[in-house]
Amino acid sequence: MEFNSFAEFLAMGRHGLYVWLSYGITAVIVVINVILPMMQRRRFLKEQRQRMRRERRNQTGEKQHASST
Amino acid sequence: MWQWLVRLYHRLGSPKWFYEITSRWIPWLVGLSVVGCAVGLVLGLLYAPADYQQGNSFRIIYIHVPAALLAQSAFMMMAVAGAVFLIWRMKMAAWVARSIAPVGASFCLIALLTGAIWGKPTWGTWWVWDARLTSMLLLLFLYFGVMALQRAIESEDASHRAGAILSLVGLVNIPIIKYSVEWWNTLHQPATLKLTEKPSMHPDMLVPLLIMIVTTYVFFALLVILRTRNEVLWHERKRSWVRDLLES
Amino acid sequence: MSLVMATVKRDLLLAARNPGEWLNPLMFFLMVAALFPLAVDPDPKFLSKIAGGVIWVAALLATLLSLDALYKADVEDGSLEQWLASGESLYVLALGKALVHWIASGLPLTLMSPLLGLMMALPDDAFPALLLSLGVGTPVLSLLGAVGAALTAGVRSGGLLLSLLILPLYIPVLIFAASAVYHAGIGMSYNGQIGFLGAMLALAACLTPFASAAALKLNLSR
Repeated sequence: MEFNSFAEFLAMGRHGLYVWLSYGITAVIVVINVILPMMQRRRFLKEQRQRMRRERRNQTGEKQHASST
Repeated sequence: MWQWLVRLYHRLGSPKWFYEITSRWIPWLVGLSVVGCAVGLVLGLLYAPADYQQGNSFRIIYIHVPAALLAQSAFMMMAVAGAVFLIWRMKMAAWVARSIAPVGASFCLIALLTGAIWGKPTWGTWWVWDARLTSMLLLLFLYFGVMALQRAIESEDASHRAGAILSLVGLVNIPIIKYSVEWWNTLHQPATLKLTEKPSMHPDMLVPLLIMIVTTYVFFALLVILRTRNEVLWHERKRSWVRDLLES
Repeated sequence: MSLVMATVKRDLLLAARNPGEWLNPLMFFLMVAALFPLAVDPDPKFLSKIAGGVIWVAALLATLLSLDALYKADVEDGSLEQWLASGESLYVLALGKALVHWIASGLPLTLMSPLLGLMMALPDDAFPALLLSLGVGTPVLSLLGAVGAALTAGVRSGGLLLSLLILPLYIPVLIFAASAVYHAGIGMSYNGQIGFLGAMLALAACLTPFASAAALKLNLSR
């Protein structure tokens, strides 16, 4: 272990700002990259399920319409 | 071996097969990424000795170098996927190429930003026209070009083909750009302290770096697969297997 | 082959009849170079140091300006479809179009560059290097740019996009050419840089027409 205390670890021997800034920016970009495709997937599933439900409702509606006339 | 490869190729061409096989891969890729990242960063941030010249700021290497390596190989992979699409008209390859572009550009951006931040304690300024940073910047421009072109063309098939052609042209140019930037850099008072060049790295420094490099590639595969699966779902949304998936 | 010759002849004739097409980039070239002494410092000592680079950057931008129109008219009036249907080699056609572009933009730029050299207080020794580097370098710009022009021919407002695609690819030419001019100015040998430019020209002349030909076919499926 290179560091004796947590405070020393955070300070990184005067370079703390630079090290943690780099790691922070990287973490942000990585998280964005993970979340974007997941959100896209969720949106796709939601839209498609809605579309299917709508289609089914239309089909049954047509059948009822046909039987009533 | 060859026949196995041919069979793999034909299977990869099937979106349904790709979707199903990657469903099984994803947990493994997530696990490997998390474990590799944890081990690599603990070793790199806590156990690796500080650099005798740069002190603790050298610990940025554990994200800068993997990101820079990946950004370059991702461009290559994008161009190869594009070539596969151009030659054999395999749709999966085009979707993979399109998925790689934003991910590769993200890693290119990470390499640039961390390089600039690393430059501050090392050279005293946020930006130095260092050969590596400059060629990284140009690589980012190439990524932007490919993405902008894909977005500008409305017809989907044409946009895939245009992106593939441009990434192949970029691929041929990357070595020329890298060489000319390095040559240019030697003419103009080169930065005396190179960020990453070491005569020999101490194993305690090197091992975490290697772990981080491998982890970055695994994580990249995960991101590209996630994006490609979305492309697959979107393009196959009228097929019965996606409908079954939606019903469940 | 005859079709390519006819196209080259027609395009040259069009350029000759419509001088704006090749005069505008020339005037732009002149104006961009005039901005630097005004914006930075008119001191001849300072100007002579940056002259090579400034002239080359101006040449680069002027080339980009005229590239946008390279295939636009052919896509719109249907000549492109006729070429594709005619079965003639697209490779030769792309080479011919790049040649036309160079004759209408790179060549006049090269011939006018000594004037800019005088304005920018370019050292006397650097004039041959300037002419030589532009003479060898601008065809590379036309060849690479033609790929971008073919890729963006069907895109609305493709001019800005074209610059975005092509500028990174121009960097090696810029580096070696500007360095040739600079080294000639301080009395050093610049054979190496011209050699590199020549190698790039050979490479670009062999490879870029393939990319242009592939990119031209895209414009049909739109």
